[in-house]
Formats: sequence, structure tokens, C-alpha cells
Amino acid sequence: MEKMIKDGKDFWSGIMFMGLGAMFIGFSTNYPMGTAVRMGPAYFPTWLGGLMAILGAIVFFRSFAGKPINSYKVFPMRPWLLLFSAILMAVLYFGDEMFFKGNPLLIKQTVSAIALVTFLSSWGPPALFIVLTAIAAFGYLLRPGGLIVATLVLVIGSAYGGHEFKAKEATILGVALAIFVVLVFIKGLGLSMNVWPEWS
Amino acid sequence: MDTSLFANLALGMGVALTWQNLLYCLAGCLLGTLIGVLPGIGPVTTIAMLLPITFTLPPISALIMLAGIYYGAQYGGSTTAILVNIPGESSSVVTCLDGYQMARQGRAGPALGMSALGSFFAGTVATFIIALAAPPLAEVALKFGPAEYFALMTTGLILAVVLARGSVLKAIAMVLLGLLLGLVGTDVNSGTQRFSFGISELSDGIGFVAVAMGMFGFTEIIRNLELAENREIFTAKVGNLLPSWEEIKLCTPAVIRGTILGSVLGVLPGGGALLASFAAYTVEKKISKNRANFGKGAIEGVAAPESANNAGAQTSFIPLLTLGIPSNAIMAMMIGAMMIQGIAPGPQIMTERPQLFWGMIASMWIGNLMLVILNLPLIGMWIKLLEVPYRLMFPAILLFCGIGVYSLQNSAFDVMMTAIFGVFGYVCLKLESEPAPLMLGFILGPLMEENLRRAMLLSRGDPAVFFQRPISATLLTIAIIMLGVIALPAIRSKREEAFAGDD
Repeated sequence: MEKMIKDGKDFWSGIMFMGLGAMFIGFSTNYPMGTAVRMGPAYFPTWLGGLMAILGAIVFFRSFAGKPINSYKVFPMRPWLLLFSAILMAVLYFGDEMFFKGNPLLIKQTVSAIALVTFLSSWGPPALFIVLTAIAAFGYLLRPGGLIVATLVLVIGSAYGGHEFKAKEATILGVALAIFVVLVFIKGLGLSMNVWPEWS
Repeated sequence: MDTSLFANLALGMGVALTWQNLLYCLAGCLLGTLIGVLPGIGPVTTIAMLLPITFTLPPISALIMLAGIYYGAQYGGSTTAILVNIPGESSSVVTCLDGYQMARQGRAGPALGMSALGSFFAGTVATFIIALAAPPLAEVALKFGPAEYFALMTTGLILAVVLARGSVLKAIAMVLLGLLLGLVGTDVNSGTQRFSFGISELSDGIGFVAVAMGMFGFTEIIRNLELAENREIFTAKVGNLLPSWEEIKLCTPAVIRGTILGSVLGVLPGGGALLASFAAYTVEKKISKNRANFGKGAIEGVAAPESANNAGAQTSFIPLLTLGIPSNAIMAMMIGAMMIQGIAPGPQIMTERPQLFWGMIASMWIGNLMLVILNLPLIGMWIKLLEVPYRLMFPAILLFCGIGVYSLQNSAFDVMMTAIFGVFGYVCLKLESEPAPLMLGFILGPLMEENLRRAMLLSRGDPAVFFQRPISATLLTIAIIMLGVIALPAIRSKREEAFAGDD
């Protein structure tokens, strides 16, 4: 396998395009196709998806030809984390009856978040999932936590994903930016956002 | 024609010279330079990040500000290229070659000054070219039916892919993916919810800011975090900014050639600033009297590509303003911003909203003037900014992006979508699948479907209509020839060579 794949980037791109193309065709089957004269909602996406899958297939097969360029290890795979996240996702998808009956939504959301983070960290660099988790957390914290809490979480959290994390420096930066955005965006530009947590 | 050109420009000046619009133009130029000067952040990223700010403004002010951001970002990118040798975007890659060498020799000042003056000259010429070329083109475009539009968009997308760098196959696949993502949401014809999986936030479609900011903004930040921080800044030795008379004389032909080349290439789909600066540098390297010095700090090697990319940046507005077709990712964002403002892009803008159209064109020139005036004295401030370490810079950028996306609809879902597109952008980066074609497709998706539907309805389902109507047939033939040509091995290797300096 390792020797056969000459261009790992094409190999994975091919798989991605084939997969996404198939997905769009699959979802399109839920909508009416219509005719060439009166196109239904499924008509255009089905064609696009098909074309994309064909291109994906060409790119995929091309990756076995020519001189070796890129290893197939484009992403650093961490199989255990991947497996763990797959199990969590399966539980989320199929386990409604078993695990989440009568539970508040919060538990399900927490499990989803864990599944997502483990999935990201199973193949990506630390910066990817730390930074993007921080930004997503920022979005969800803004309303309940207020701008200041959300800013601190985002700034300190994402700084942790950088090269040289210095706790003190990141905290100072977080506080300074929190003051700055409150002054500029709330006082200055008049955005309507919670500044302080809802529960305070 | 001549008198009306000046009448039109006067109308535009009237719009652009109001205090309010001057202020937004200034703000755009400043903000654009401010973000664009940050290493590793190019115009596309800058615009993606700053888009939300403009949405609350009136349409004309918003577009003026966005255009200002664009020029500012480009100018900032050149500054970084010369002083730090980190090109913000591929269009300033060639500026690095000689600009950085000049900086190392202690001639950063003249390099920066010449790039500003050359850009201003190019911007002035390009503004007139737009004003001259746009009306007749728009007139032609007004006669287009759905078949022509569909053919035009197809050809535009294919040309954009062929003329850009990277694998053509993967880029076309990305275009298709973009078109599909653009279809998410309510289908206008039947009211069916497509690909929204019962998520109410998706019924209006995927937010265009989420795609732009995710794939261009967040991905860029993560990529910069992956690369080790390694900069060598020549700040102490910037010195006198104004180039000497000798240098100006040396550069004049290079600037003129760069401007012409840039103006022409900028109009092509996929061209814009990138192709222009590459071509200008290559030409100059071949025909300049001083060619032996190229790569060792020749000032013409800075002047030519800088003029070309500014000219190209401006003339790439021509297809946008006259046909409503974006030629590159930046123009796709401009169209997105127009749509959010409730302006349907297309040839009718010029006749229906002349104030907007001419106001924007006039503001381009004013923006360029502002940049020259501003940046000569402000260069010291931008240099200070370059000295701030990235580890302090990027959390702040993320924060402003986060607030920007959230404030669009006060929704955490938008922030989440942006993060998701950030992840996807990273995957694409690793797989060398360019995000720009996806952005073009994303903007054009609904339009293409609509025009295809109408064309097929009118032709009673006969696809031959695209080859029976002369304009549409010509356009599609061009597209097919381009695809055929690019498949030839000899051309392919030439094309790879042309973009080789990019890595």
C-alpha cells in the first residue's frame, strides 16, 4: 500500500471528492428530480455531485501513477483517538434510547463536543483543534457567559495553541483585550451583547 | 463618449467625496493596511476578516470601504514582503525577491517608496481603464439571456481554474463543491429545503462570511502557527523613503510596462493581482537593461510587479461590475458583500445605480491617493506592528473575527460554521486543493442553477441551445479549448514553471 500510492495528497483528495460527491447525490435522492425542461431541486446537485465524484475518481487513480511525490501520511493519524471519537459518535447517533433518555440536552451537547475534539485531535496538529475549539467555545459562551468571559476563554485558550505559551503573558493579553473589546464594540460601536455572565 | 466619461466620473467624485464616504475610504485603507501588514496575512484573508464590519453601513459606503480594505491590504502585503520577506499572499511573492534584497542592503526606503509611487500610477491608469471599458461591456452584457449567462459563468470558472496555479482537476472539483455548498438552503423554485438536515439556521443557506473567514482567515492562522516563527526584520535601516531621481528614471519604463500588463491580465478570470505580478516580473527580467541585477536588489524588480498587481487588482473589478461575475476569491467576497447589501450584481448596476457604480470607481482613485499620502509618513507605525510577536497577535485577530461573525446575526451557530470551515480549509491546504475556486463556485452556485433552469426551459430541454446561440457557443468553445490545451503535457509543464516561484 505504502509503495503503491505515489501522491498521498491526490490519494486523499480523490477519496474526499468521491465521498462528498456520493454524499450530495445520496441526499439529493430525497428531492424530486424533475426533467430537463422543468428541473426539480435534485437535478442540478445530482449532476454536480456526479461530476465531482468522477473527477475525484480520476484524481484517486492518478495518485497511483508516476513518480513518488507525497507520502500517503499527509495527516498524522492517531488511530486510538479516531476509534474513540467514532464510538462516541455512534453512541450519539444510535444511543438516544439507551443513554440520553430523559437527560437534559446539556449532556448530549457535552458528549458531542468531546467527540468532535477527539476526532479533530486524531489527525490534526494541536494548533488546529485548540484554536478552533477555542473559537467555537467563544461563540457558545457569548450569550450565557458574556463578552468578558468568552474573550478570556478564546484568548487564553487559543494562545495555548501557539508556539510558546506563557500563562502570565496570555492572561495579561486576555484581560487587556477584554477591556479593549468592551470599550470598542460595546461602548463605541454599540453592539448589543452581554458583557457580564447572565447568572450574575 | 468622452464627455460622458467625465460627467460620469464627476458624478462618482460627487459620491466619493462626501465626508462620510471619504471617512469610510480612509478607514478601509487604514484597516486594510493594518491587517495586511501582518506577516502571512494577504488581501483575501484581510477582506474575509474585515467583511462583517461593513455590513451595517449603507451599500455605497460599504463597498467603498471594502475596496479601500483591498488596496490597503495589498499595500500592507508589499511592506511585509520587502521588510520581512514573508509574502502575505502569492501576489507579493515576486516583490520579496528583489525587495528583500534591497532591504538587506539598507535600501528598504526606496523600495517601499517606489512600490507606493508605482502602485499609485498604476491605480490611476487602471481607474480610467475601468471607467472607459465598463460601460460598453455592460451594454453587451445587458443583451445576455440565460443561456449566455450560464455559458459565461462556466467559462469564467474554467478560465479561473486554468489560469490559477495548482492541479486543474482538483480545482474543478473544488468549484463543483463550492457550487453544491452554494445550493444549501431553500430552493427558490420549489421551496424545498436542500441539504439543510432540519437545521433551521441552514434554511437561508450557508453564511458566506463563514466560508470566507473559515477557509481564508482561520486556516491561514493555523498554518502560520504550524510554521515556526522566524523573522528577520530590517527596520532600523529603512531610511529615506523617496527614491532618488536616478531610480525613478530607471523605474519609469518598468512601471509603465507593469501597469499595461497588469491592467490586461487583471480582467481575466482567475487573474487579478497574482498573475499580473508574476508576468510583470518575468517580462522585466527578460527585457530590462538592468536584468543582470535581478534577484540581487534591482529596484525595477520591485516597481514592475508592484505596479502590475495594483493595476490588476483594479481591473479585476471590470468583470464584477459589468457582468456580475467574480474573477477571483476577492471579487467573490465583494459580490457576497453586495448581495448582503441587497444589490444584485450584474450589468444593470451601472444603469440602475449609477451613483453606486461611479462612486465606487471614483473612490478607487481616491483610495490609492490616500494610500500614498498615508503610508509614506505612517510606515514607521507599520514597522512597529511588524515587531509585535505573532503569539500576541493571533489571539487578538481570532477575537475580532469571532466578534465579527457572531455580530452578523447574534448567533453562535455562525461561529461554529466558521470553525468548521476552518477545519475544512486546513484539510484542503494539506491536500493542496485550492480554496479560491470553491469560493467562486459558492457565490455562483444559485445563479448558475437559475440560469441553467431558465435556459433549458426556454429551449424545451434541449441542451444544444448552448451551442446554437453564437455568444454562448463562442464562450464554451473557449472553455473547451483551454481545457484541451492545459491537458497537453508541454503546456502543462510550462504552466507549472510559470507559477513555480510560488512555493
